[in-house]
Amino acid sequence: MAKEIAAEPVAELTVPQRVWRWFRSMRTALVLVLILAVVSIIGTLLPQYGLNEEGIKGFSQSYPALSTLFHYIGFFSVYSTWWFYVLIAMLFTSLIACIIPRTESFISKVKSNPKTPASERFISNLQNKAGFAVALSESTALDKVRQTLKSKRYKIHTFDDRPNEVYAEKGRYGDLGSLIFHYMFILMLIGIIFGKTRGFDNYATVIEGQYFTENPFGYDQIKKGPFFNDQTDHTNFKFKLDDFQVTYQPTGQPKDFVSKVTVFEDGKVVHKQNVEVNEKLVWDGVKIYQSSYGWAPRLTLFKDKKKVYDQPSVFSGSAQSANGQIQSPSGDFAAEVVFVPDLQEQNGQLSAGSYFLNNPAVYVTAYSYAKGEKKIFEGAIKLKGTKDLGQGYKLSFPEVKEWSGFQVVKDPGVPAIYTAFGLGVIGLYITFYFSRRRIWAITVPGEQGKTKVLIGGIAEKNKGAFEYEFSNLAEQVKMNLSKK
Amino acid sequence: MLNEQTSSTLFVGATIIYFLAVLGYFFYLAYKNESIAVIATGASILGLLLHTGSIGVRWAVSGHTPISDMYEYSSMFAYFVVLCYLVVQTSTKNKTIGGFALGVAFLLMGLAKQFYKDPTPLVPALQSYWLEIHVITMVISSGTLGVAFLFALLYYLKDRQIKRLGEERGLLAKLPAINALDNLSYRTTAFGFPLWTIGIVAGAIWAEQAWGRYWGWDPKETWSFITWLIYAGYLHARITAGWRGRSAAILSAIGFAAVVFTFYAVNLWISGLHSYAA
Repeated sequence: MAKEIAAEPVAELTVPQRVWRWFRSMRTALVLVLILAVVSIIGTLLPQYGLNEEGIKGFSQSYPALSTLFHYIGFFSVYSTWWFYVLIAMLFTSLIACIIPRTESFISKVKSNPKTPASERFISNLQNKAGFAVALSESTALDKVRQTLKSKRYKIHTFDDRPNEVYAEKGRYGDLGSLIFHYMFILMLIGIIFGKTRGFDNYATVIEGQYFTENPFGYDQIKKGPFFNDQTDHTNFKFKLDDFQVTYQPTGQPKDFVSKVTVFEDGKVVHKQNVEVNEKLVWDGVKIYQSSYGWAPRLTLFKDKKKVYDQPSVFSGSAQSANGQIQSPSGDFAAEVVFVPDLQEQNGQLSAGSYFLNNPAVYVTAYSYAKGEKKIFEGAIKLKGTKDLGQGYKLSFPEVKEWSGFQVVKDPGVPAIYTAFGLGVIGLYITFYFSRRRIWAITVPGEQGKTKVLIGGIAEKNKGAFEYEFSNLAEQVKMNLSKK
Repeated sequence: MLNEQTSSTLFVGATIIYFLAVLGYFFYLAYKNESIAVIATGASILGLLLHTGSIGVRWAVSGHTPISDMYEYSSMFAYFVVLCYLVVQTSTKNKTIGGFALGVAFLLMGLAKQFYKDPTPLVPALQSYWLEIHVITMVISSGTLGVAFLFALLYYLKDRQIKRLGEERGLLAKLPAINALDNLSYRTTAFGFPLWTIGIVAGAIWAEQAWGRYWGWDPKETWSFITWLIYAGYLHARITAGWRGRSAAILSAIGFAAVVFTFYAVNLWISGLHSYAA
């Protein structure tokens, strides 16, 4: 992104200097951006871990050899491979190498008006120029030039010691926009690194009526940054899932799912809220998002009339049919359980119906491990029902609850990233609407008592567009000069 | 009685009238017949009114802004192309590219028809005001980048003709000057790119609100980023390295291909978090 650097004898450069020079080149930046684009494309065409693990399984079955190679290279986790990080690091090195000289030149440029008088030769060397001979006095002609420039919103500078010269410019701070935009990326990177290393992205399931506590024991899955300390950095606040509700569209897709929660601090209620997909709960810098839900049937197991197990547990599957297990504390009893909210019975055949609680039942396959594994029972138990399973076991199904799955996130980098977003948009606005354009105009005595008006201009960015703009400007100057 | 049938009928009516406007604009371009241009402009406005009705009725029927599936998105895309074009025509008084702009809108309407489905209620993930902010920004920006591509394409055709024949001939000669096309293409991109950036930023903020992360390398996110990189490359090539003309036009075409890929191919071929839009 830097301009070409004046040729220096290459032999005198040390290796670090050469590397730095390479990073300063615009070409390097463009090549790195191109590689980043290609690598990103690979990541969208191949299934990725964390996004589409089924796809990876399918791919591995279809192309075993290729998938081994891809696993080795990291093509199934493109965005977290070491070489992806190296690429990002190189891009940022290039970015920094480019913006340092640009910042320096911006500072020196912004302070100065042209010191040397503009000569005929100077103007003829500019990229855009025009000249007219008019029957006006030098000062009247220059006034008309000023008028036109002013109407085009140029800022005009006149020099006391140079009465036959006008200097005008527009968008002096245009380069600032580009600088802000590029510095923004550094802020964004800091935000990303800070957030990812000092935060976490965990997952917790909570059954209706139960509590969630924000500490390592409250979670089902933990994904935390290396600088997040599980011992000391948790907030330990607590919330209770009072109720969970899901409503459906007539088409069967969920319309809304809502967790009603109450937040407690030191045993006192401090906050009540409905957590929905687009309505997160934020507490102590920790954000709680509604993520998933399911059935949680409560089952009670008796052994020789003594209650040995009695709690609701998280079942997974679909809204029409969900699976789970129960196990006695002693380990000599276990059961595979299928829960259906709307059991259909037809000619002795059992099947799952709708997702409404019309005829809730559990279908239990129970095993005893007292003397080796032995299936002791298979059959359905309806809500509020109890069945004898044999060998002194009795199972009842007193109630069904729902569970709610929460994504619990701490990302202290977000404020920096949002700031970067804001700066980026401001920077772009300045970049595209404040391009620095400079115009010089001088008058010199011409032939036959006429006055020669010479006008020239340059733009620092988008020279093509300026060429067009300048020819329009010259046309207007000409028209204005010929007006009486 | 307002129902989805009304919306579909209005949609078809708008499509036919856009097609008539395309014919009118090209006739104008060929014969410079001002009264035909007035008729074509009138047709565009009438088409836009019917289109407004179609979108409005669907909005009323479904109860949400109709930008939640591929049909609604494509229809909205075409709507903004026509609207942007009419604004450009009014401000520049130049009607020569009308046939191309309305032609693009007509094609988008045809594409929308392929994706047609009855309106559905919004899934919970989409129930947010960010839907409007994010999608409308993306639609306007892709419409703008599409117009930029159109200018680049016309530039390319003109440039090729000049290189082959040594002069401008036929319909192409009646278009704006070759350098003006190049400059217009840049200017439109310089408007579309910041919008695309804002669209991505709005998407990131929404993702942070709804999914708990501002970026997740979801295929749609990644492709919007790839598109962004291409246009960033275009602007650097143009602003810093001074690329103009043909090479810039080719980059603009690649960029717009990426825009189209981001919107259509990702939904059709790659599964991801944005697939409810299919």
